[in-house]
Amino acid sequence: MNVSVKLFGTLPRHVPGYDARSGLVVALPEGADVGRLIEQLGIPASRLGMVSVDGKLVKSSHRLQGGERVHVFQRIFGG
Amino acid sequence: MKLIRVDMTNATVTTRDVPEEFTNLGGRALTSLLINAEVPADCDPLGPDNKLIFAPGYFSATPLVNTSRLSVGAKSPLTGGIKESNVGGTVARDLARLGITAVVVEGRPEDGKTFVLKIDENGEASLADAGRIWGSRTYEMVEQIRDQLGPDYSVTGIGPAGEMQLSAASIQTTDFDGRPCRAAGRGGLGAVMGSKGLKALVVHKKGNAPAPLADPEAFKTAAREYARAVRADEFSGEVLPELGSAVLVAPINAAGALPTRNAREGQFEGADHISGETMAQIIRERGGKTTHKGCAQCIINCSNEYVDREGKYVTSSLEYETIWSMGAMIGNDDLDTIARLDFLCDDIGLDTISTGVAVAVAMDAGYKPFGDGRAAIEMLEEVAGGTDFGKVIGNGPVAVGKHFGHPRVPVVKGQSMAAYDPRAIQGMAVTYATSPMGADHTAGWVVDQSLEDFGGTLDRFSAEGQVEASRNTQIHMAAVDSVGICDFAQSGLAAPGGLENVCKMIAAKSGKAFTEADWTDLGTRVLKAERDFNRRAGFTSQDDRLAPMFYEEPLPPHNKVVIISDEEMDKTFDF
Ligand code: SF4
Repeated sequence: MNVSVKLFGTLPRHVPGYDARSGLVVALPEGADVGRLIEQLGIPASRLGMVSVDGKLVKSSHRLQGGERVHVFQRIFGG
Repeated sequence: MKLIRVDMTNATVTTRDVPEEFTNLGGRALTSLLINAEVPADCDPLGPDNKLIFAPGYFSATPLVNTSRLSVGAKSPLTGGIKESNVGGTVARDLARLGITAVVVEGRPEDGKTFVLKIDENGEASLADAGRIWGSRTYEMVEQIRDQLGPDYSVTGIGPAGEMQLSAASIQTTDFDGRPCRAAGRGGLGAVMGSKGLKALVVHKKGNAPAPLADPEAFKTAAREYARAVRADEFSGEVLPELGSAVLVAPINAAGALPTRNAREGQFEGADHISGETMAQIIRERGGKTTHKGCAQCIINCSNEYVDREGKYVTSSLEYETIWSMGAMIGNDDLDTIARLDFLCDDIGLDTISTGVAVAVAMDAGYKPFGDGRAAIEMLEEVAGGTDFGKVIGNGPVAVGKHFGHPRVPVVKGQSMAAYDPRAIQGMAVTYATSPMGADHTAGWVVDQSLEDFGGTLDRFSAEGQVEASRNTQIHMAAVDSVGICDFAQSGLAAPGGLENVCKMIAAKSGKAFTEADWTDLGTRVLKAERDFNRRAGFTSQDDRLAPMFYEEPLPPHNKVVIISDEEMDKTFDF
């Protein structure tokens, strides 16, 4: 199955060949969860903020069905 | 160390040593304690009894990085309570280099006279007739002053909004490149400055008499450690330099917490067009600067220079809060319009947050459709032109709500909220409701603690733990605002041993022991003074509540309301 992935912040630095305009289509084994996707993308866990699937925030144990839009964000700080 | 008092009634200046009880204080601690001690709480904020106080942070002009924060304090014409709003640029460093701990502006000229206050390279302060500088917008003001005095002065002053004493008026100050694009925006302090007939505070940049450090070596060692932590942190070392605070647009939108169209929704369909990532791409393609040093002694460079299609300067530091207030909040997904609105706010001397929300309330009331960027620009020009409706906008969201008889006004204590909807992050509801400043995101930013996947421990939709988190953060921030460390450099405090390190620096400057318990005491002392002032100004626990819309209207997409009870709110400050 495939999901389309967009990376935010400076995360694209960790994924060679990532194109900000088109994003990325990633092939995953059936039933893979978000954690597996992040691992496959090669994003270090320490760099991960949160992940949304089709506009909703999810945990890394969230199982993917294929066809979703996945957005990956960094840890933030603000004020 | 010097405390300069400027009596605007008689146009006189006196310089004295800082009184004993206020030594070893800076920034917000100094402004708030002085105001609580000296300003009658029931005074007219725009009358002669109010005082406008400028105080650099305790660490300004020391070897520590990211410490160029100036606290500006007064009784606020917007909230009717005490106010501290802090700003970067170079002026805090400039004052501190001259050994000046605070400038207190009191009284009011009887006869409509207007002045510029100049502090020269020897720290001598003098008032001069503002002449034709009065009436200028801020970029023009800076140019006129530079023509007279040359480039060696920072300029901190007001535009037309402050001159007209409008409640959303900011005080603008020059950035590292000398542009008046940094704002002490909140609380209408520009109106207080205008009421005193003071157009600008002009400070020589090359003073050479900073407060001595009791133990310079210990200070420098700790400061080096702090800077290392700021550089090593992913957010302050990598993300902010590349994208600035605008990086928050996408994740806060994803969290459903980006107030959209006067906070009718928590997600903006146009967020992609106004995200930090998109902004950086546009700036890069047009030859602007994505990484820019806004403030003296900064090693993060979160600022930027936004340019138009021809590569010409539009505005500096397009930041998250403004992108929200002039973007999602008014339903506008055009970054060029946002940049123009940001510039206009700086130039007219308006708080971008209060002004954007004022425009949003007007649109919500049906005055113009959401998303009409041209209408927003016209509304700001009306403020500058001083039309009747322009004054309504320039007086902020509550004034606009009254004008239209429109009840959806997202404020606390008369001050609009910032770019985090409290219904989607309950901890921010506590901060907005209970901060003595009115709805203020910097007073206690608990977003990271609330979004679980950011490593937080709180459920953002539950009331549990929110009061405690907000209380602790508000106490901590009151201390941070007093030493004058930039919010974005707090990674140095959050790093292991960071707070201990900061305490070491306070001790190394003052020569007196300073523990982590003293840090908490400092923050608590500041908040106590602020709450004492507000109480005497007539505030009760009923004022520690959000506008009704936050309790009544569920916010899509999560369809939650604020669920923190009044009893819980009242436990926030159990002192
Ligand atoms: S990080 Fe930004 S706001 Fe902070 S000191 Fe640097 S330029 Fe100024």
